[in-house]
Amino acid sequence: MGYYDVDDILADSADFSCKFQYDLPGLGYLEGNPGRSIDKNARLDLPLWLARILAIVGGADGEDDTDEVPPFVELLPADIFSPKVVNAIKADAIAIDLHSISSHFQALALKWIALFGDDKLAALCSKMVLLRALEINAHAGSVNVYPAADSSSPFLLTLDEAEKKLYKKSHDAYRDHKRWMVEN
Amino acid sequence: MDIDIEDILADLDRDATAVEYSDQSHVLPSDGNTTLMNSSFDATRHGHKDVIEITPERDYQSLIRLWRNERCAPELLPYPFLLMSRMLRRVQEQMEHIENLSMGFLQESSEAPSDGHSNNKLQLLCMEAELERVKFVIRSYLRCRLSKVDKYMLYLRQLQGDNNSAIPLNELLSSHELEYHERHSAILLKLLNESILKHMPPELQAINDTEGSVSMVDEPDWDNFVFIYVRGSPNDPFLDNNEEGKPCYTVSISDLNEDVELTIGGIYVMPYSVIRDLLRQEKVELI
Repeated sequence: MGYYDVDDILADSADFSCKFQYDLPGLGYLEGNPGRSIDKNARLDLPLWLARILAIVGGADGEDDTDEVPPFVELLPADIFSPKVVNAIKADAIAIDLHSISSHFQALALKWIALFGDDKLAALCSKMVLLRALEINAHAGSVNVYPAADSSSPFLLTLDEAEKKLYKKSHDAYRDHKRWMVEN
Repeated sequence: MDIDIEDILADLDRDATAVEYSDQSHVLPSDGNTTLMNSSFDATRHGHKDVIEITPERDYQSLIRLWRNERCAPELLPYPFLLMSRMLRRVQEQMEHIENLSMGFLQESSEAPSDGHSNNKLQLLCMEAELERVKFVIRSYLRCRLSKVDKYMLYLRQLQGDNNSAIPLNELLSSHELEYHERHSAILLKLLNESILKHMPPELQAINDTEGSVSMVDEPDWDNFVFIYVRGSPNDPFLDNNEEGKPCYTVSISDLNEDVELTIGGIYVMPYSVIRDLLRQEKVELI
C-alpha cells in the first residue's frame, strides 16, 4: 500500500456513506449545492480518503479538548460489509461475486478493519481469501502452453482487483514453467 | 569392545587433503592450457596462495548467494565491496588472458595449419562461456540493486539524513550506486517540481511528507514472506537442539508471540523481519 500505488488510490476513492455530527457552513458542495451549509445528521456519500480523516478528527474549537468530542462525521455501516454480504461469504466464499460487490473488496476490507479493529470481519476475510486463493491456484494451474481463446471461466469474472493480480502472476508463472519444460 | 578412532582417522584425512591441495595449487597456475570449466580463474590463483580462505571458486559461490538474496529480499542489502572488487578484477584479467591465448592461436594457425589445435579451441570456448556466465550474474545483480535504489529512493534519502541509522549509506551502496541515487533523485525531483509541485501551496510541496494521511516514503515491506534455506554454521553459540536432537535456530515472531525452530537443512516460508539478522550473519539464505 504505497503512496504511488495506483490500485490503492482507486480503492481510496470508493464512496462510503457518512452522517455529519455538526452543522458546517460553506461545505454544501459536498452535497451538490454549493453556498449552502451542511446540516447536522445529514447523510452523505464521501470517498474513503476524505471520510477516513474526517471520522478521526474531532470538531473541537480548540478550547475543550479534554472531553471526548465526536468527530466531524460518523461512518455508517457500509453496504459492502452488510450482514447480507457477510452471510454470503460465510455460506460459500468461492461462489460469491466479489467483483460486483466492490472491485477493490480486499483492499477496502483491509482499510475498514484497520479503522475499526473489527476482529470478526478480519477472521472472515482471511478465511475467505484463503479459500478463494485455493480456487485461484486451481484455475491458474490449468494452463495451455499456447493461450486458448476461450480461457475465461465464470469464476474469473468474480475476482476483485487484488485477486486478479494474484491470478495473473501465478498463471504467468505456471505458463512460463510449462513452456520452459516443453521447449527444452 | 569398540574403540572409536574416528578423530584419529579425521586427523590423517586432513593431512592427506592438505598435501593434495597444495599440489593442485602448484600445478594448475603454471600450466595455463589445462584450464577446466570450474577453474578458469586459475590464472589469478597464485596471487592468493597464502590466503586459503579466498579462492575464486568460493568468491563465485558467495556472489551467487548474494545475487539470490538480493533478488528475493524486500530491502536493499549492503554492497559487498571487497568481493565485488575481486570479481571485477578477475573478470578483467581473464578477459586479457583469453585475448592473449587467442593471439597464440592466430600465430599457431598461420604457422602450422594442419596441426591438431581443435582440441585447444574447446578450452578457449569454455573460458569464454564461463566468463559470460560470471558477467551475466554480476550484471543481473547490479541491475537488481539499481531497481531497488529507484524504488526506495525517498527511504534511502531519509536514511542519509538520519545520523543514528544502523548502516551509513556509503556502506549500503557502492560509490557508483550512490552517484546514481543522487543524480537520479535530482532529475526526478526536477521533473516533479516543474510539472506539478510548483502549482501546489507551499505546505504541500514536500515530496517526502510522512505526516499526511498517507506516508509518501515507501519503506521496504519488512513483513514480506520469503522462502529461506537454513544453512547453519558449525560451532555456533546460537544453535539449540530440538526434541529430535537436530540442531536448529530458535526465532520468535513478535506479532503472534510464537517461537519457531528452524532446523538446519530445512526450507521455510518466513516473514523477512524475523530472519533478517540470520540473513546478515549468513546462517540462512533466500531461495
